[in-house]
Amino acid sequence: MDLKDKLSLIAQALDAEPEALKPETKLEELEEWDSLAVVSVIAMLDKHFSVRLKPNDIKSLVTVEDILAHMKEKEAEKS
Amino acid sequence: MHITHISYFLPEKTLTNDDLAIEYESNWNSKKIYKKIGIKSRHIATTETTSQLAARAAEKLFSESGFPKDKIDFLLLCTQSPDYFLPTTACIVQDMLGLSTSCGAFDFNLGCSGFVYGLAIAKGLIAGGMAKNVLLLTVETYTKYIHPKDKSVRTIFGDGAAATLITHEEGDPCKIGEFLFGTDGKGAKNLIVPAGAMAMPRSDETAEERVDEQGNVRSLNNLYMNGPEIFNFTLDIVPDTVKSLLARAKLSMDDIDLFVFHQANKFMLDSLRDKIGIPEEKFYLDMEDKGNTVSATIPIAMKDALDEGRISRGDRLMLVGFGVGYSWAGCIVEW
Repeated sequence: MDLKDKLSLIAQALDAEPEALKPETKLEELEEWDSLAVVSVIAMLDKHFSVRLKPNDIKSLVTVEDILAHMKEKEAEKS
Repeated sequence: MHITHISYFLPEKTLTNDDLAIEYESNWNSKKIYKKIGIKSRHIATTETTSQLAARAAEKLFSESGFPKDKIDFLLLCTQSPDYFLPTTACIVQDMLGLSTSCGAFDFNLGCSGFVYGLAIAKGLIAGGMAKNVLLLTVETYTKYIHPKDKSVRTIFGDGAAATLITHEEGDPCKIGEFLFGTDGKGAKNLIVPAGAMAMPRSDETAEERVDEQGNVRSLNNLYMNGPEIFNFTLDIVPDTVKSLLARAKLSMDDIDLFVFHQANKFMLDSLRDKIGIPEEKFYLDMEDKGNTVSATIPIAMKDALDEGRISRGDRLMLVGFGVGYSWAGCIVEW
């Protein structure tokens, strides 16, 4: 899965436009980043990467890159 | 032994997404919320107490089913918003309904798992020869705990009461159970009303309002829910509960005609259904015009499914409740 696909999965979870998301985008600056979005990201990571975010992982999500980091981990494990 | 009848009662006042959109102005998108959580409107108890809602649901059950009141020999009432610390709400409701004074009655304090627990208690009482006709009332007025400026819970919860009649005639086959239960008190802090009982009595301090990171306002006297943590908990335990319950009952997914889960919210249920692999047509969703009524959601959903013809006599259902505690329970019921 390339960066574009991953950004599109994140955009889908946040209900945002994929073009609006770059790795360096700060989540707090996104209008869509609310508690529902957090839950959607948890669901997306669980479904597509079998990754479960723990309370501390959720707190340390600052940029889109931080979400991408969780999406990479599992892929590396798989290969 | 089987479930003979279900009725429910919802308070008259409603709170719609459009009402909330007006109140919360730019911070709240009515359409987005509906798309995500599948709720358009909830019923809100204003002056009605838990005992009154419970009695209305029970009266409806007696008039719809024609079952004689004086035959009820046990009343079970599940709530986390009782009329008083004491006496027991079930005792108040016994008198309101005019049930026999030889009727046993007690409350039990559980949330979203409460209905399945209630069926288990009823089964135990009947199987042990202590009762024949059990009236199970699951009733909640959570909205009274909710701060008006806390969008996170106000959007989800609604009030309501369900009455379920479980009866047994000698020689009847048992159509309730297998059961499966689970508890993890480590999750207690994630869905809680911290102040008001003996661990932390209400005071000026507990009434102090605080604003969280999302802009929601609440005090320690109010209901608090950590949504992401609760979501994680359900992803952890519900799929396993379904699997283990099927194994215990020696059934496969195909043997279940309809899955009726606690109606938490649509997003959570869609995620669980997807993870477990339950076909959409076997999975009942029923929260659009009621919200999450805690222990009342499963019987309310069963009643609506019955009225819509989604359940017929002889159908096999799997019921699963999960939430506050953490507490969860599942059971197989033959209708």
